[in-house]
Amino acid sequence: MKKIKIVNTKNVYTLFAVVLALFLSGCYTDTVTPNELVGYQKKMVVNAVFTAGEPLALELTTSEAAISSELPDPILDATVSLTRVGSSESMTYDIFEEKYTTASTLSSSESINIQVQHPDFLNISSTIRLPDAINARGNYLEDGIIDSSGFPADLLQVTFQDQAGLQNYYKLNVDYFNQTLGIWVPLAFDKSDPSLSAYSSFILDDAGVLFTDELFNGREKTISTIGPGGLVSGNSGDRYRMVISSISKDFYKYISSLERARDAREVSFDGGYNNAVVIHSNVDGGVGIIGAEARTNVILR
Amino acid sequence: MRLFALLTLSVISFGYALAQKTTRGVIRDAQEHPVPFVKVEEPQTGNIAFSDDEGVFLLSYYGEDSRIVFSKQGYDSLVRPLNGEKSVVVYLNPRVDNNDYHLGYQAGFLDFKNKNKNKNLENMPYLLGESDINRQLQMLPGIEQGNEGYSNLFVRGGDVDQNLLLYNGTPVYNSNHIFGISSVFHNTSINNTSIYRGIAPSKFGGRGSSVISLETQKNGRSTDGLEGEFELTPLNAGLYMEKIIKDDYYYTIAARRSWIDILIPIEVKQNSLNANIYDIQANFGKKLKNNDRLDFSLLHTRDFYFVGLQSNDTATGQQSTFSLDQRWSNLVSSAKYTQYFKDKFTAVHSVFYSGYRSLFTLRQVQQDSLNPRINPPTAENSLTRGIRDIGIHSDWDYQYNNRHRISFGIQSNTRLFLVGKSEYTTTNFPGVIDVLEIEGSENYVPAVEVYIYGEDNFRMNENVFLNVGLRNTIYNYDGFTRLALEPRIHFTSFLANRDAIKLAYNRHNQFVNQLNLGQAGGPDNLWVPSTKDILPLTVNMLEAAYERKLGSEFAMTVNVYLKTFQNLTRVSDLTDAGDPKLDWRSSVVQGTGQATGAEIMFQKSKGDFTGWVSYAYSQSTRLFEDLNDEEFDFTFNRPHMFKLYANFSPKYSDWKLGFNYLIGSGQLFTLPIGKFRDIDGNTVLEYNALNNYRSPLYQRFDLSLIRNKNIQGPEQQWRFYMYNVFGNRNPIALSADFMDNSFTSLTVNRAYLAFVPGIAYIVKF
Repeated sequence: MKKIKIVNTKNVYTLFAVVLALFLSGCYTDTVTPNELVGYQKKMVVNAVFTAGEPLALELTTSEAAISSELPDPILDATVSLTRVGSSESMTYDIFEEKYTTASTLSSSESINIQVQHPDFLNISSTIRLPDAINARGNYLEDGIIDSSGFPADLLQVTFQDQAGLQNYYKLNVDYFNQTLGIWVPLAFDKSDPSLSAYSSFILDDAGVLFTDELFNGREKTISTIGPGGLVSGNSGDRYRMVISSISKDFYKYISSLERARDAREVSFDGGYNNAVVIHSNVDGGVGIIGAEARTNVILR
Repeated sequence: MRLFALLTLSVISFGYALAQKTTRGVIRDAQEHPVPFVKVEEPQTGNIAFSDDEGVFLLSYYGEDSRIVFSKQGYDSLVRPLNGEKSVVVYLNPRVDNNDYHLGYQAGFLDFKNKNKNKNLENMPYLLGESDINRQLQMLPGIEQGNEGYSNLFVRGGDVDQNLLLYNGTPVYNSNHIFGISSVFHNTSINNTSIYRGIAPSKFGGRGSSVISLETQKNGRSTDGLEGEFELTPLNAGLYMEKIIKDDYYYTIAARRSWIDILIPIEVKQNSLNANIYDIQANFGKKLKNNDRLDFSLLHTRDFYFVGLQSNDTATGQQSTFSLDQRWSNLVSSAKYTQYFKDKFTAVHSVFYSGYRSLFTLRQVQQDSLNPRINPPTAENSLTRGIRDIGIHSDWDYQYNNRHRISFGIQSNTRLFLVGKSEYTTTNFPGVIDVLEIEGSENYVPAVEVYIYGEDNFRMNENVFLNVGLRNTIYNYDGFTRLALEPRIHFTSFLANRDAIKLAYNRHNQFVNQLNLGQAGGPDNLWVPSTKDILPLTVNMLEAAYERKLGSEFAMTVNVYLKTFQNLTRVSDLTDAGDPKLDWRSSVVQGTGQATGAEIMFQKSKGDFTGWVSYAYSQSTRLFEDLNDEEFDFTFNRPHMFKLYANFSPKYSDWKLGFNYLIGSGQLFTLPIGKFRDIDGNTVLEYNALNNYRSPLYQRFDLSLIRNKNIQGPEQQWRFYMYNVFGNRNPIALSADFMDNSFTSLTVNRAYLAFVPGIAYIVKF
């Protein structure tokens, strides 16, 4: 049989060069400008959280095309109207607050429709309902618990009843009142309670936590956390505050999508599916959020 | 009285049955292809059986010397006695004008040996010259490649992990080399690739969208001693050898290895750059004296990539080497014992192991160049992921009578998951105690699936076949137990002109998911079990098919389907999902989906010009409420896709030609359309929907030219390829990149493949 010489060294090197050439010659990049980006229509963006019993305020800005070199600007001359059962009113722009405001307040469980009009943009509207108020009580036990370092610490507890048959969303903050400074200081508190560390919970920039009732639906819930030992007991006039808020589903979804968007940005700006996060909105015709909150303050000590 | 009558009837029937002989047989044509739907009849007794998709029949008959008639349209009838033989092989002779398109199998089934036969797939154009079974499947209707240029498979709106890929019956968990560019299977070693695109017999299960079965050469024609081929491509050098003694034994060996790294100097490979891949397949089978069979199968694959950087401090003489290496491997092995009992029972017992492991390592080595140490100070951070699957299956067939064939069995799969094990070690640092810190999963964690199934293949009359089955899965993982029932119904009716109409319904449950960390088919994607929080995927599928032979050379199939998905799993946070220190469950969301489609395919199986042409319409959507309130299109959904594969192989020419042509909807990507201020005053990107941008019309033309050289010695073949001959800009990736964090300068960059040449040199012996 004839001996076949398949490759010799020279041929191998030639093929090696060919392989490199194959890869290099076949891969190209260019820049595109999709119509979806060019044809973008600016919208009004609303940012607001309406809290029961507190004056209402609303921030209004523009959105810009992603490919535009412009950044979003405030809108100062829009018509913002609020309609609720039996009455309607307007919000006016407060140049100091840089928001549309009104002295009116809303009660928990109350519904309201917000409409915004501006000649340069599509009209936007949203209807929200404030959550039901929470009846919460607290418990404070000085040096009532041993912290992770083995030292005595203050036990702080808040107890509230979850409404059965509904999916409810909550926010918890713990503050410490410094008598000397006369201010409430947010406390980065222990969040080992299963509901606070569940997959559906989110830790916020203000040290608070957003969570759902999926682990205690319809039952009474007590959340325990730890205050630094001696912080309050050693300073008369100092005290803790646990702020438990019932928040609207839209607000929860907005915050959770925002958190995911921030995480995604840490990976890259790549436009691939996994990095793209649609930020939740409850504003028809625009973007942004009008959140709703019913807050209960529990002062401990 | 009624009970007595029933009892008497049963005794008579039993006695009657005892008086009958039973013979099992296989019907083949001259090319050893099975011939299905052959009517096997003992005249004037009503004893009739039909050969199944594999050409197997089992006939109970009265007279040992009865002259049994074998008949099928398009074939010469054969009359012969079976003489009470236990097993026979029967050859039927096709007529010249016979169209041997196989109307059998379940709706949506396709393969390259029995149904979609004689397509000369070696002539198909392949990227870089690497013959690839996945790229063959990608040319079929309803199967998408995913990202351009990749060797992935997305079947009818399903994800990659919804394909049960079986190598000689054993699941394979990562079938890719080079990050998804090439498949791990040596094309020549695969005798037949078949795919159930959603509707499947009850013995298959555990994945939502398809069963892809790769069978190596086992028992075809006898070889003339040792036969095989040597193959050289730009990526690999490969060898395939087979020896087959028909109806006795066989062994096949296939091995490939990249060869470029061999040319790199050892010093460079150790310190700067190294990459190599290999795969080995070895299979052996033997027919035993009692006619039973034993088969053994082994597949081992590995990818290895290494990059190193060195820095020297001339003042201190310190040399630091920073390196990263990534490797992944499969080890797949199985042993199968096929048992032929007397008369009516057949059983296949198998045990298998399939393991997949990926390892990513970052390493820093400090060396004193003036006083080099044997064990220099080293800091290393590694991340290991893996899955192991240990299976024991016992699958049985029982021929109850000439009308009913019952399949049943029990199968057990024990999967062991290593979701992520991070190890940090420091060794040999002077004056410092060695450190070993382990985070994430310390050990493999088991999940157990036990399946029990039964199925009746019922021939209602000569034209109507009904297949009714039930598959029952019992799943347990970490205290979470789930019982899942999967009904399977398939109905086939032959019309007067022998056209076939098929209707089917299947349910599938999937208890294992692969989390996509950025690239489908990538080595780092995590295999994870279903848990009480992340529920198993359930897919319901309805399909109808119409199949028709056209003349003696063509065939047509039309399929329509509807598919629903519950508990689909998606990664919601890439960073956290890939972090072994965190619980992966906190980074995934679950949702629902739906896929509908219609496919039409024409194929030509005879003559110098063969191939197929298909058009598929499909709509596949997803809804993940935790991601977006709105339903969105599945990333790899292309509503319209036209595919053509044709090859021209003239009998008396040394030249052959093949081409692929695809035209259809472009791929979906997600681009930010706007930007706005969030509630905290930060600028964020506005995505109006996921997958909101469809790239322009997808179009690709690939060409292959094959030159045979048979003048002297072994047959040699040169294959020349060109991928995307027209240079269409079909994006591999599309990325929206801002120059900085100011959000004021955005560019959308597109990468694409065009004019990619390929070459392969083959020597057959």
